[in-house]
Amino acid sequence: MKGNELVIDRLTKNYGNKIAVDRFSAVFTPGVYGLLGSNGAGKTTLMRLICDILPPTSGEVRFNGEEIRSLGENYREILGYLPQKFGFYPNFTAEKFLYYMATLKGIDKNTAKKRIEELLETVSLTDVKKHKIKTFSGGMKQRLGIAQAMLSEPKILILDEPTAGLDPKERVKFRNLLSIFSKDRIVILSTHIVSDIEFIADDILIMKKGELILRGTVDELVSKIKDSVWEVNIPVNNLSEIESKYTVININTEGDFAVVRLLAAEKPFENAKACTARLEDLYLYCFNESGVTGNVESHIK
Amino acid sequence: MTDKKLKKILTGSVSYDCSAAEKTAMLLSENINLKHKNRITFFRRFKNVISYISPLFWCIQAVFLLIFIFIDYEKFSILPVIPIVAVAALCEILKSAYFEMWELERTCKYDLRSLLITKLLITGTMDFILVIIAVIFGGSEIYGLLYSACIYVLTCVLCLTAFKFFRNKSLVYIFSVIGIILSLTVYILLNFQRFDIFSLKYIHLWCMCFIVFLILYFMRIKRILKTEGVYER
Repeated sequence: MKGNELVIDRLTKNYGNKIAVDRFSAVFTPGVYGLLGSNGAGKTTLMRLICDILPPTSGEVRFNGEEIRSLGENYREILGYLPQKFGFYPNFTAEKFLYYMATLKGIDKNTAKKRIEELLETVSLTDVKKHKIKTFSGGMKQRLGIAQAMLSEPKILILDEPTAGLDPKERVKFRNLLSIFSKDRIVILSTHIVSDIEFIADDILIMKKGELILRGTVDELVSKIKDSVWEVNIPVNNLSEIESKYTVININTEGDFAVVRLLAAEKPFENAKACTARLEDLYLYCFNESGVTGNVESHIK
Repeated sequence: MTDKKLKKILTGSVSYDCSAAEKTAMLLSENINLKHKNRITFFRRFKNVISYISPLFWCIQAVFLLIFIFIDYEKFSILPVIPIVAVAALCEILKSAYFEMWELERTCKYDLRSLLITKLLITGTMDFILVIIAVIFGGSEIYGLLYSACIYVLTCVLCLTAFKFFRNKSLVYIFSVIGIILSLTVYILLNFQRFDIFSLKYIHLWCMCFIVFLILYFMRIKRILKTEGVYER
């Protein structure tokens, strides 16, 4: 039996002369997809287009062959969304907030009661369900956010930078929750923190200046720079020369010396050590601000 | 093709799976029942929205009601209070914006547009009842209603214009400032007899202003209810 399918077909969004999303095309089937990109890459705009919050300038989003704008409330019924800026009514308790969202999602009271109890248990907020949201920590608010996104048992779950502002412990908790909630649904998670999705995403999409520049599994993406990642110790004074000659991924200054992590087809220096390529290397290379063009194509095998 | 052959074809029957037809009918019926079971009527939705309206709003409405019932209409006029009534309603209607809930509410089945319309109906009805009570208790004629309606709609137009530029928590302060300025203006005009704009000779001007303000009000509301109106500036 054919599963659910979300198709994004040459989606474009312009704000005047600025292109926020540029002819983005992708197909999603049930699984976890990580959308990686730096600030301003167009991730949030893309998320809003997928959620039908913003109208596209051109292109369309189709769910199981039907355009989402024509599906209307039928599409919103199977959609769960956690926005980047998660607002709330501060005097609502966690429980009241979930009941309120259940009302807006058209869930009847009995079903909502059962669902809310289960979700509060899963996100470990049962003990504080009668507390006002304004007393919650950042991590608790995000967990409440994912609980509301899961209320209607959505077929599509869109999470926009859900771990932004969370400490490492809370990020691990959130990743664990995501692995529980991601079964048999299309989950699209946007972030600029590579470790959030490196071990959880089935497929990763890298976005830059509104365009999809790379897509693949972690292994497929990392293989593009395999045997091309080197680390070398050089004097700090020689840094500018290195930066002009090579594609620098990262610089770590230690006194008069710097440990430079760079991309090169062949061993650049005698003392250079070959390193295992990581997704973070590819990401940093795509989005480095050191003035290097960041054109991955020249290093893709 | 002989008659015999034709007859054989026409009288021949193809067997079919009866249980498949029954299963299909049962699945369809379950699907329809599920949709009906989950459907929430407009009245039920209306009731749900009322239950989530802020208690502060109801308190403010109660205070206005008491003022309009017990005020001494010979000494005071309710017209300076009308902008504050309008501001209280608008703060409740647009709280999705300043608490940054609009994105979430926009993606729900009964979305932000339907929520805004429901809140407009509720607050509009409450305010209309308040003004009617004031007109009845004040013993004023239809002109009192016209002046109140005009000031109310003007306040709404100004606040909704400000909404185009402010979306976060500063919205409450902006609305409050607009309300206070308009209240003071109405108070000064009431007590400053030189132009006497509340006299009957200017009634046609008031009618024209009301129509113009109402058109502007509906244009502002229409813009807000359109997707771009809420999320793009």
